[in-house]
Amino acid sequence: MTSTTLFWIFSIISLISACMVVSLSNAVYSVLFLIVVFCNTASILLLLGAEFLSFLFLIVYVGAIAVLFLFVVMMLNVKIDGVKINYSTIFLIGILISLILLIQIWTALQLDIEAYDNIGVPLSQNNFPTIISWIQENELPSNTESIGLILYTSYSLVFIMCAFILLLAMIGSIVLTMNQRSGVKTQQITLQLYRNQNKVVRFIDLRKN
Amino acid sequence: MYLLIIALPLVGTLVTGLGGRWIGRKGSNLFSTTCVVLCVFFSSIAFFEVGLCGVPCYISLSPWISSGALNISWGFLFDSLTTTMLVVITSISSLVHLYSIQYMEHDPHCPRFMSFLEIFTFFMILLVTADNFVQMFLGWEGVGLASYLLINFWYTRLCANQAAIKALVVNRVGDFGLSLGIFTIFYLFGSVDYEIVFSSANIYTNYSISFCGFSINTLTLIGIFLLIGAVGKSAQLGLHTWLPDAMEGPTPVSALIHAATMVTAGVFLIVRCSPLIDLSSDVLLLITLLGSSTAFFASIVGVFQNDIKRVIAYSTCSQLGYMVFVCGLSYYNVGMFHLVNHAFFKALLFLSAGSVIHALSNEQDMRRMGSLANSLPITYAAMLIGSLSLAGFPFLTGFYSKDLIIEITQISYYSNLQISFGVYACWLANISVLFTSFYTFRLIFLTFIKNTNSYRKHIENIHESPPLILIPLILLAISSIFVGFLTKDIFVGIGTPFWGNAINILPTSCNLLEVEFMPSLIKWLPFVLSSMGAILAYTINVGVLKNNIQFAHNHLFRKLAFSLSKKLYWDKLYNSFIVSPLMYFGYNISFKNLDRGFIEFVGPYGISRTIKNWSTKVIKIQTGQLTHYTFFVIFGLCSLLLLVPVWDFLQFLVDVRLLVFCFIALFVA
Amino acid sequence: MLFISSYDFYALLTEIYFLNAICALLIYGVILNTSYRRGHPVIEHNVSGLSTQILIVSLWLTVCSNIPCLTSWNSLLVHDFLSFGIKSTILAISLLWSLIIFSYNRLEKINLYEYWIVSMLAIVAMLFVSCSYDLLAMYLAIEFQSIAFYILASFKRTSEFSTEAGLKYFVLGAFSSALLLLGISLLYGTTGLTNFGDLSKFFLGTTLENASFINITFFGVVLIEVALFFKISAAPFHMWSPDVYEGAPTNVTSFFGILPKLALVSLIFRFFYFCCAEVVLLLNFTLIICALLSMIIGTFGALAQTKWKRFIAYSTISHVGFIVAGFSTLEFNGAFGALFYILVYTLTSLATFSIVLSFRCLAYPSTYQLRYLTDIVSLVKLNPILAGSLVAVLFSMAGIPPFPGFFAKVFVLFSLLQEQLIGLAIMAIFLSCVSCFYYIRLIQMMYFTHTKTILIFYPIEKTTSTILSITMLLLVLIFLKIDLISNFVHCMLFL
Repeated sequence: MTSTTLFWIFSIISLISACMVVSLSNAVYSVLFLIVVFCNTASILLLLGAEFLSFLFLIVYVGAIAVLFLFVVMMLNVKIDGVKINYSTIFLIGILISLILLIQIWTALQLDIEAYDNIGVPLSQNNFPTIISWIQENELPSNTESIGLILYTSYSLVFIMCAFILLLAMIGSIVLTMNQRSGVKTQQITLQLYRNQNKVVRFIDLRKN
Repeated sequence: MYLLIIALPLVGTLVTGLGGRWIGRKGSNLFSTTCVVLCVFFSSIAFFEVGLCGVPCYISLSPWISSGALNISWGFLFDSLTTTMLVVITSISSLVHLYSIQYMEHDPHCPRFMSFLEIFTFFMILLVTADNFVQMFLGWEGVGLASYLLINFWYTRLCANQAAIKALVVNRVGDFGLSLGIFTIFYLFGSVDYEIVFSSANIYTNYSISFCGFSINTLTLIGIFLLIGAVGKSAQLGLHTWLPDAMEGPTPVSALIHAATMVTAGVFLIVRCSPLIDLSSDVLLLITLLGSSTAFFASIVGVFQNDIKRVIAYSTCSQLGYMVFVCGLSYYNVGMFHLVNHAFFKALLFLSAGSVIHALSNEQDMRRMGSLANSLPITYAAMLIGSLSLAGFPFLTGFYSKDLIIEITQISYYSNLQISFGVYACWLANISVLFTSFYTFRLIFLTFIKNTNSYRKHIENIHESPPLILIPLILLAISSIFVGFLTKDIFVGIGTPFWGNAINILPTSCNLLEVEFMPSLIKWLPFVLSSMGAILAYTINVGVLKNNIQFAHNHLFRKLAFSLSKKLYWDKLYNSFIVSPLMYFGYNISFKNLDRGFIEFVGPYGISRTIKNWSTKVIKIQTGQLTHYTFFVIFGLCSLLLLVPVWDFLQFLVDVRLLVFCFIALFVA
Repeated sequence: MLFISSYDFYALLTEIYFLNAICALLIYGVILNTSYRRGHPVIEHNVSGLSTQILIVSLWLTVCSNIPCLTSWNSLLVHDFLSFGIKSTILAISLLWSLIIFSYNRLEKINLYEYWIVSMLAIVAMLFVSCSYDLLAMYLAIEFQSIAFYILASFKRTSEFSTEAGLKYFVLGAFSSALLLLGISLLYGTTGLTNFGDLSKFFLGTTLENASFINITFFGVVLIEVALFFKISAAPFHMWSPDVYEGAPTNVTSFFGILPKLALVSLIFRFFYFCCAEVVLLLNFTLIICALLSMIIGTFGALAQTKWKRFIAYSTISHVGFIVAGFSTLEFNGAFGALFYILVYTLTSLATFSIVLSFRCLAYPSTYQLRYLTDIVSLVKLNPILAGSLVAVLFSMAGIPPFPGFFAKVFVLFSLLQEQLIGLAIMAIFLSCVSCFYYIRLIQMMYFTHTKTILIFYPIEKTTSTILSITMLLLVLIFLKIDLISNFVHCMLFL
C-alpha cells in the first residue's frame, strides 16, 4: 500500500476515535479510544519520518498518560449513564463555531507561496516513487541523534527549564496530597539498619529441666 | 460737584439701608433727607451752569466692559436735557422725603422705606446722566427694581405682592424691547455711546436689515424697539396694566414714582433718542398713534374709577400719552415742558390725596368721603390748585403746556406739513380734555364738596395734617401756579438756545411758529371743553342731576360703565391669553415633563438605574461552571477570528449613530 | 564551549544564584522537616526569612549588573533595559510582598515551607518570562509560572474553595497553554522561525503588500494573543480570575494580584511591538475589542460585588482593560502609557493587599480574615490611619490627581486620543467615572456609615505596617517627582 492510502486510513481512524472519545458515555471506553488515537497519530508520524517522536508518543502518551487516565477513571468509578446534555440549545452556536474554524482551515489550505510548500496535503501529490538512500540512513545522524545534538547544546537552557518545571510539579504533588500524620507507625530504615544483628535472634529454651 | 449729585443718594441708601438698625428712624430720616436736599442744591447749580449758561459737562470715569469691538465706559453726561430732569427728580424726591417723614411715622420699617426711596433716586439719576445706552439701561433696570421694592413695601399684603410682581413683569417686557434696541444699535453703529450713535445717525438713514426675508430700515427697527421700552416704562397702551395696580404702595411712592419720575423715564428715552427717532417717519407715526390712544383710553377709564389714587393714576397715564404723542409729532421740547409741569402738579395731587387718606384713617374710596372742605382747608386748597392746573385753567402751569400740545395737533390739518396722522391725535386729545376735566372735578366734588358719606368715627377723628406734610403741599402748589409761566420761554420759546444739542428736530418739522397764527376760536377750544367737563361734573354730582339719575338706568349706559370700570377688560385679556398659558406651560410641560421627566430619565436617574441593571446582568455571566468558562474562551477566539478579514468593510457598515442609538436603547432595558 | 559563551552565565547570574539558592533551601527544608530526631519542626518562618534574604541578594545582583543589550543562550533570552527594569522591579516588589506575607502565614497557620519554595520558583519563572526572546523560551517560562500558580492556588488543602480554585485555574490554564502551543506551532510551521528577532525581520513589509497569503500566520498570532490575554485576565478570557482570586488563600491572591502581570505585560510588549509588529497592525481591532470588553466587564462586574477578593479581581480586569487599550494604539506612546500603568498598578496592588491582609478580626480564640466588603464599616473609628491609607489607595485606583493612578490613566488616554481612538477614550472615561463610584462607596462605608456593632480588628503587624507606610509614601508623594517612573519607563522602552 502506498503511503497515501496508509495516511488516509490512519487519519480516518484517528478522527473517528477522537469523536468517539468525546461522545461516549462510558469513561473507560473513552480512554481506550484515546489510546487508539495516540497509536494512529504515532503511525502518521512514522509515515512522516519522525521515528523518535512516534516512539515518544507510544512510550509517553500511551504508556504513561493513558495509563494514568485509566487509573483515575477506575478510581473515580464514574457511572455509565452520563449527564444528558440537551444538544438542541447549543446546536446553533456549535455550528457557528465549527464553521469559523473550518473557514480558517480552508483559507489555510489555499497557499501558493513556495515557502509553504511542505505542509499538509502535499503528501497526496507525491506521485514519484520514493528511493531510500541507505548510505544516508546509515551515516547521517538519526532522529534521536539530531535531537540530542541540539537539545543539550544550543537549547540547553530550555532543557534545564523543563527540568525545573518537573521539579516544581513534583513539589506540587507532594505539597497538595501528602499527609504526614505524626502518630503513624512507619518503618524507620535507619533504625532498622542500626540494629545489632547479634542481638536480634535469641534462643530461648522452653524446657527448663 | 456733578459726581456728588450721583454719589449722595448712593451713600444715603447704603447708610440707611445697611445701617438703619443703628441710626434708627430719626437718624435715617435726617440723613436721607439731607442727602436729597443737598442734591437739589447741586442740581439747581448744575441747571444754572449747563442750561442757563450753556456749558454742558462730560465726565468720563473708567472703562467698564472692553471686549473686542464693544467698549463701554462709565461716563456721565450733563447737558440741558439731563439737568432739567435732574432738577425735577431731585426736587420732587426731596419733597417726598419730607412728606414721608411724617406720613410713615407710625410705620416700624421707616429706615427701609427711606433707603428704598434713595435707591430709586440714585438709579433715576444714573438713568438720566448716563452717556451710553448700557449705563442708561442699568439705571432703567434699577428703577424697575426700586419700583418693585417700593410697591411691595408692605410685603405682607397679598395685593401688594401681586401688584409689585405685575409691575416688574410688565416692565420687563418693555426692558426686553429696550435691550433689543440696544443690541440693534450696537449692530448698526458698532458702539453704544450717545456721542457716536447720535452723530452718525444721519449716515444710516437708508440702511436696511434683512431678517427672515423681510427688509426693514434699521433706524425704524431701532425706533420700534426703543418705543417698546418706553411703552413699558411709561405705561402706554398695551403695557399700561401695571400702573393702576401700583397704587398699592404707600402714597409717597405713588407721588415719586408714578407721577413724577419713573414713568417719565420712557418719555425721557424718546426725547434723548430724538436724533434717531426723528429720522424715521414710521416710528413717529407709531408713537403718535400710541400716545394719543393712551391719552384717550386712560381718560375714559378714569371716569368710572372709585379710588382716589386710581383716578389720579389714570390721569397720569393720560398725561403721559400727551407727552408721548407730542414727541411723535416731533416737538420734543414741548414734551419735556409738559413733563416738567406735569411732575409738579401731579405730585401735588398725589400728596394731597395722601393727606386726605391720612386724615380719614386710611380710607381710599371716594364714595365714602365728602364735605371735607371745612375740615381740611389747606389740603382742599392744594388739591383744587392741582386740579385746576391739570384741567388747564388759563395761566396756571398746566395751561401753558397742555394747551400748546393741543394747538400743535390742530396745525396738523395743514396738509403740506405731512403730519396728517396728527389729525387722529387732534380728535383724541380734545376729547380727552373733556374727560380729564370731568373726572378731576368729580374727584373734587366727591371728596370735598358733596355731603358726607363716611363713618362717624372717621369724621370725629379728622384733623388737618401735621406741618411736615403740609409744607411740601404748599411748595408744590406754588410751583403749580408759577412754574409754567416762568419756564415757558426757556423750554418752548421760539428760538430758545436752551436745548442746544440735546434734542434734534428735523428742520422740516420745526413749525412751532404756525401755532401762533391759528384762528382764535380754535385756540379757545380746549378751554371750552374743559369747562364743559367741569360743568358736567358739577351737574351730575352736586347740581341738578344729583338725585335724578334716570340716565344711569339705561341698559346700554350700564354696560358701557361696567366695562369702563373694568378697565376695558385689558387685565382679563392678558391673564387668560398670555399669563395662564405660560404658567401652564412652565409647570406642566417644562417642569414636569422635561425637567423632572425626560432629562432626569436620561440623565442621573436613568444612568444609575441602567448601570445597576447591567451590572447584575453582567455578573450572571460568571456561572461558576468550568465548561461555560471554556466556552467563553472559544467563543472569544472565534469571534476575533471571524472579524479578522471582515473588519475592513465592516467598518463602513457600523455607523456611529447606530451605536449611539443602541446605547440609548440600553436605558429602556 | 561552542554553543554556550561565558556571557551567558553572566546574563543569567541572578537566575542561577536564585535557582541554586532555592535548591539549597529545598534540601535544607526537606532534611529538617522530615527529621524524626528534631520532631518534624515547622520551619515555615525560618524558610520565609531565608527566602527574603535570597530575594535581597538577587535584587542586589540584578541592580548591579551591566546591561550590554545582547541576546544570550543561543538567542533564547535577551538582556536589554526592558528586561533589566522589569526584573529589578519584580524582585523589589516581591521583596516587599514577602514582608507582608510573614505575619499572615503565622496567623493563618500555613505551616508548609514549600509555600516559599514554590513562590520563589514562580518568581524565577517571571524573571524568565520577562527576558525571553524565543517562542520556545516564552512557552516554557509561561508554563513554569503557570504551574507554580496552579499549585499555589490550591495550597490550602482543607478548604474546598481553594481546591476548586486550583482546579479551575489548572483546567483553564492548560486549555490556554494548548492554544498558545497551537499558535506557536502554526507560527513555526508557516515561517520556520522561532526567534523574536528573526520573526520581526520576517514580517517586515507585510502591510505594504496584500497580506491575504499569511492567513495561517494570522491564525497563529491570534491564538498566541488569546493565550496571553488569558494569562493577564483580559476579557473575554477573564472568567477564571474572580473564582481563582476568591478561592485561593489571601496570601496567594496577593501574589497573583501583584506580580505576574508585570512580567506578562512586558512579554506582550515584546511580542506585539517587536516580533509581530506588522501583523498586529492588521489585528488592531482585536486589541480594541478586548480593551473595551475588559473595561466594561470589569467595571460593571465590580459594581455588584460584595466580597473583597472578587472585587479586587474585577477591578484588576478593568485596569487590564486600560493596559490593553494602551497597547491597542500600536504606537510607542501607548506602550509607554501601558507600561507606566502596570508599574503604578503594581504599586497600588501592593498597597491594597497590604491593607487587605491587615483586615483581621478577632473572634475569640482565633482570628479570621475579613471576607465581605461591608465588614469595614466605621473603620475610621478603629484604625484611622488604615482607613486613611485605604482612602489614598482607592483614590489612586479611581484616577484622582495627584495620585499616580491619575497620571497613568492620563498617559493612556492621551495616547488613545492621539491615535484617533476617540470612542474608546470616551468609553474609558465614562467607565472610569462609574468605577469611581464603587471606590468611593467603600470610603463612604468606612467614614460615613454608622453601625451598631463594629468588628474588633486585630492590630497590624510591624512588617505589614512597614510595607504599608513605604507604599503610602510612594503613592502620596510620587507626584512631586513623577518623572522618576516615567524616565524609567522611557529608558525601558527605547534602550
